[in-house]
Amino acid sequence: MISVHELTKHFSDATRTIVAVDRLSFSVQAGEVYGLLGPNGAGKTTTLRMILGLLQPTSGDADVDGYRATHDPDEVKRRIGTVSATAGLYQWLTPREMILFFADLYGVRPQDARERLDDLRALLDLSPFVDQRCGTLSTGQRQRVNLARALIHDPPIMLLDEPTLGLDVVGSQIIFDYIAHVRSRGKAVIVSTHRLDEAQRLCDRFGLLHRGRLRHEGTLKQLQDETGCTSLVEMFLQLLGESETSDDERASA
Amino acid sequence: MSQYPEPSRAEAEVGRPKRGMAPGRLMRLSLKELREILRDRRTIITLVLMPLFVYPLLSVAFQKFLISQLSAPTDVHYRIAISNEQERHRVEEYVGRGDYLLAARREANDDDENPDGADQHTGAPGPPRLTWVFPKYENEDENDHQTAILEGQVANGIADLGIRWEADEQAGHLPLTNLPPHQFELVYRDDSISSIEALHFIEARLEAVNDEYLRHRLRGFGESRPPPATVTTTQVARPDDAPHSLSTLIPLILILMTVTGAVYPAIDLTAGERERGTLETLIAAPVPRMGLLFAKYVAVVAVAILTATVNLLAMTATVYGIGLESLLFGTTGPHLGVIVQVFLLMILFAAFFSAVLLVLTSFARSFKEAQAYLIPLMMVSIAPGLLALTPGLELSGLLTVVPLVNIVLLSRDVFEGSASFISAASAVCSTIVYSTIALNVAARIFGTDAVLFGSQGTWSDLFRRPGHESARPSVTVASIIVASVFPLFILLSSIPGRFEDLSMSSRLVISAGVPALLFTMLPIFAARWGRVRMRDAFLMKAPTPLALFAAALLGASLWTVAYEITVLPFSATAGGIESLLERFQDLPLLAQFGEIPLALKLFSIALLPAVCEEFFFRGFLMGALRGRYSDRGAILTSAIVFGLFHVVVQDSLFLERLLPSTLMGVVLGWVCVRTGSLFPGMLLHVLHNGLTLTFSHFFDRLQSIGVGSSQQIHLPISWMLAAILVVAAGFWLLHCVPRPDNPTYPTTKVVRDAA
Repeated sequence: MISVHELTKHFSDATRTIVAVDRLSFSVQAGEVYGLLGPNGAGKTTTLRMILGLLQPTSGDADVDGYRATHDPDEVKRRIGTVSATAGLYQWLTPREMILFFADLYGVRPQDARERLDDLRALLDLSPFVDQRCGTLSTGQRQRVNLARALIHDPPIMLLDEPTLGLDVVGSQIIFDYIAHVRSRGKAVIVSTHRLDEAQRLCDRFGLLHRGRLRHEGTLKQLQDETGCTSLVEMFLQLLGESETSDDERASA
Repeated sequence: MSQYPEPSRAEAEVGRPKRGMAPGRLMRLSLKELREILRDRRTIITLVLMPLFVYPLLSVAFQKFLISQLSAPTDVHYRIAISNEQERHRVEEYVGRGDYLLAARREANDDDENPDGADQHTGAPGPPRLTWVFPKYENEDENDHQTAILEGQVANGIADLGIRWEADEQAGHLPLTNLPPHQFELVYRDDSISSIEALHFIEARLEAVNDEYLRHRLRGFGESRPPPATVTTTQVARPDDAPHSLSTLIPLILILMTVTGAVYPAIDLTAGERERGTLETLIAAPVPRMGLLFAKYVAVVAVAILTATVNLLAMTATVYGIGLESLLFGTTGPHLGVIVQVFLLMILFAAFFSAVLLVLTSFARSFKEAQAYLIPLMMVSIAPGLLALTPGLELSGLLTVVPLVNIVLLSRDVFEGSASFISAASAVCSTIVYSTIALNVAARIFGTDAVLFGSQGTWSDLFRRPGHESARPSVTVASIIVASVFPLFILLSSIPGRFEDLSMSSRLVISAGVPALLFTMLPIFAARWGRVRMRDAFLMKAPTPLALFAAALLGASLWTVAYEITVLPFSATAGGIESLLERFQDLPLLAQFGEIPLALKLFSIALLPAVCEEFFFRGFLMGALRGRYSDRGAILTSAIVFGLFHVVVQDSLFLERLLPSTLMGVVLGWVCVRTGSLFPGMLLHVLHNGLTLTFSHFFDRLQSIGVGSSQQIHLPISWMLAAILVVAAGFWLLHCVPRPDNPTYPTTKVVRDAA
């Protein structure tokens, strides 16, 4: 479903060039949840934005269901549902109006959109506030509206960028249920997070990202064999330690 | 692919490719934007509450002011400073007599409403009251002191007018009056309207008394014929159906109303969307950005028109409510067709202004940033509104295509019923073109990486010094420098005119030196700051002798062509040459100019500007442009900028210089690119300027031998033929010059510090 090949992104300003993502390659199958893990600034969000076609890669490419964002951005966008912690809502619209508006943007027929909204209301328990102004909703309610918005066009691929950021236990649980739900519907899912404990519970496979490079990739079992660590947290600490030593070596050289 | 689930109906839907946007969908998008913005309480405040409260309040204040101005005659009173009660009685006696005489004269004059210009203010309902101000003396004997006090009272505004009088007792009593002649001295201030009015008031009455006395005396001598000049005045009013000049205010009010309505939605729907975090989700949807932006545009225009309409209605209602309509629209009121036309113009203005607004707000990353960008725009857009108040400014020629100004003037003309079809069409069409361009620019900016994620492309980047050496100045820096040189150039070229004491020669040197400094210092500063190696970037390399020779040939011959091109448009029209000559003879300095030694003129008009201009336009500007554009594009762009600079001469424009200067710029640019050096172009430019100048220096002498006289302004045909041969030879030789080492410019050596 998703195949990323040698994806690279440089950000440069007048004084310096930052390599945000460095020759990243991985692929995700339908019905699979892929965890893109790494500390803040590892390049997770940048990678997701390039897959979605919001950012132009410096080099390399990402194929989504056979389409490439650089060539057919709309075909790619149509197949992807996105959820991110920073996504806001239209303050003056109701969740119903906003979700139907996005259905319209994605070209869903009004009748289908209404039916699907009914399903999502049940799934995400939106009914109590579906006709209330978005500006009056709580953080958890907002996140649920965003989850519903991302699914209204029933995309085969979901990109979730730090979906549990700022949510309490209940809110996070809703996200876990949601991911389980979309996996059961056979969607390919990429979840980016720095919460390793969550990832371990959620994902089928993992990509450990550090400073824009993919350091380790595989199932938990494969990673355990490769690194000799038992948990993702240990693996990361090891990874951070390695890069610091290599930095020191570089500095002393 | 076996993992794929059965494609649901929705997925089949999702997979359906869609291009462009259907009108229905576009309308739904626009409706959503409108719904969002109209639910916003802040919109409602500006849209409904403002007009409902502000206009009645404003109109009350306006009415108070206006009524007090118009009906002022009813309770006018003048404060007259006078020394004592006795003098006051005498003055009152005179004024009373004068009043009586003027009234009698008015009655006698049936046709004449206002026999006395000065009486215009006072002749209407009820005479002005006079109140008397007496000075407080410390010592009554001090006459000088009295004078000072009286004048001080008028100067300080305690009194409008001071009256001092003296009876000339020695002259004996005048016949008919039983009084000695009086000497009145009226003290007034010429910067105070009430003081001047009081002066006229008293003067008119004293004159009437004198007049009557003289008439009696003449009659006493048996003289009954009228005096040599009898004056009656007739005042005419504007025809009642023509709108009052206050209608020129209407474009300004329309602009303000539309601006008020458009600003908030424009910011909210673009920069606000980013600030709330909805922009990224929106851009992630498979919809063309133009579609998204267009929906926002429709909403902004709609709110702007709505605000303007509500304002207009509230204003009209208030105007009728307090009975000011005849003042604004004349007694017949505005014609319905005029209202419709003005309304359509308002829509056009809203469409244009909203598009421009969206360009700026699309660029902004936050509400605050957008507001900062809009303040200059608002100030710029209020200026044309004020322009419409300038009497005699006509909508014609260039003004019909100047954005904003054209609509403002057109709506004024429509209101006054004096709009011409061609000007109107030109204004409307150009505005539509500008709106379309602005909208396209906005769509390009809206949702770009930099705006979306703010990770790059901030304004501060423009002013950050690069960390590495670069091969040439960046186009951005070059644009900033050119943009700042233009106003500085205009500003500084007016400096020599300030030094009127200096000799012509010194002023000439100053006027040449200031631009020369600008043209050299700014590029040097930009190069230093941008870590550019000037020798390479500005092509300051030794040229081949052949290149120099070819450039010299061109410099020696091209001026004839340039001269003919400048002369051509004038000779084409009858009387054109005369107007050209007149224009130059208008310059009062021309005569003195001829007296300046040729060597000094050559230095300050030919050598110095040529060298500095080459450094700036070919070395700096074209060098920067070649970094991004093709050689051809760089030559042409720098040549056009070069041409534009030559159009501006102090405070006037010499449009006829545009073509020859731009062509010259193209030749100079080509020479520079072709030879890979700045110096042949400099030589060409110096020779070109020098020969043109020498020709004009010896113009009189040449005239005497029949060359370039005002009757025969063209050069002799033999000169032209020879020149063309030399030009051809120059170009051919340049063509033969070996091409500069490839590449002409050092390849970009960017030190990228990998993270």
